[in-house]
Amino acid sequence: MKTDSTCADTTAALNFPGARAPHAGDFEMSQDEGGAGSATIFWELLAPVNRKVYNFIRKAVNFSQDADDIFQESVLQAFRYFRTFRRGAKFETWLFSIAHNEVRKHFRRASKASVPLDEVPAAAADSARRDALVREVYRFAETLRPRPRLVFFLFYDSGFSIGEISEITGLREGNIKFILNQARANLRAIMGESDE
Amino acid sequence: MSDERRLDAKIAGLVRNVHEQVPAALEERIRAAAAETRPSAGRLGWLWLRPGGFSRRRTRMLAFVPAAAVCVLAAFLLIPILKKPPVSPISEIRTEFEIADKNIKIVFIQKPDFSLFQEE
Repeated sequence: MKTDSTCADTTAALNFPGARAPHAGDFEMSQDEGGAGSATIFWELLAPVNRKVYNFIRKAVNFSQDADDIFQESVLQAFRYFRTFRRGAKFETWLFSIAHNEVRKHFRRASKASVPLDEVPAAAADSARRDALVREVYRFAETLRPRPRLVFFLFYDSGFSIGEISEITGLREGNIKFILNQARANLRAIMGESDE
Repeated sequence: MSDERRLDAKIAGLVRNVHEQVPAALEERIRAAAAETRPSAGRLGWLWLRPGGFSRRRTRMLAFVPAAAVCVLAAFLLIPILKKPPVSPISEIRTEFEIADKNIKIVFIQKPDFSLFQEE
């Protein structure tokens, strides 16, 4: 198993296609931060990232039916505590740390919450081979324990850098690198990639 | 390393192949629930006030507050005990000479009525 390889360049995020993640500094906070102005800012900040959060939660809980409830609770928690959000901080990272906590809570409540992989939504795969690979990757993700699975999807699906994942999950960067190296090694074997 | 990047990009591509929109009904439900929700200042009130706001580092730091308080208290109690007693000032200098065969003993006693270390 190749676990000692350096992955300095992997600290760079795999950018998610879509809008730039907004900062609170992009918006003028009103004096009445608990009022309607704050709510408007919150929904404006949420709009570009809600699909990304929703997909992260769906995948992290193996497309369980509970994903919608977890997403709703994450957004409501963020809305409720939006006043505690630091100006100038990255809203996306803050929101993901809330979503991450909600998913962890879900894992604690339900020790096993998954559905058969046949129910994984149809991938936008352009070939049967690619479709099979997508299923293999998700099958592998399902075998991961909750914490590595969250790290896996934060890196490969949400496109966060290792530093950002550390901020979101509270894990040390070394642990995240270890998890990703293991995932890489396993997926390399599954997908028939050579080490060269 | 480039191989690693290529593999990462490939895995990311496969993972992102599955993506869904947030259901409109769910969005409506969340907005309706949010309308009934009052924004809160935070679970721990003033501890979460700005400019710091919520941060994991702060929650971790809070865990060390009791330990730090014990350390400070212990330092206050132990410092007076461990401190060396103050050096007493020189009260006198005795210089003794003894001439054994003549059974003579001379004793000079210098009292601090003059500065001891001052050169003439």
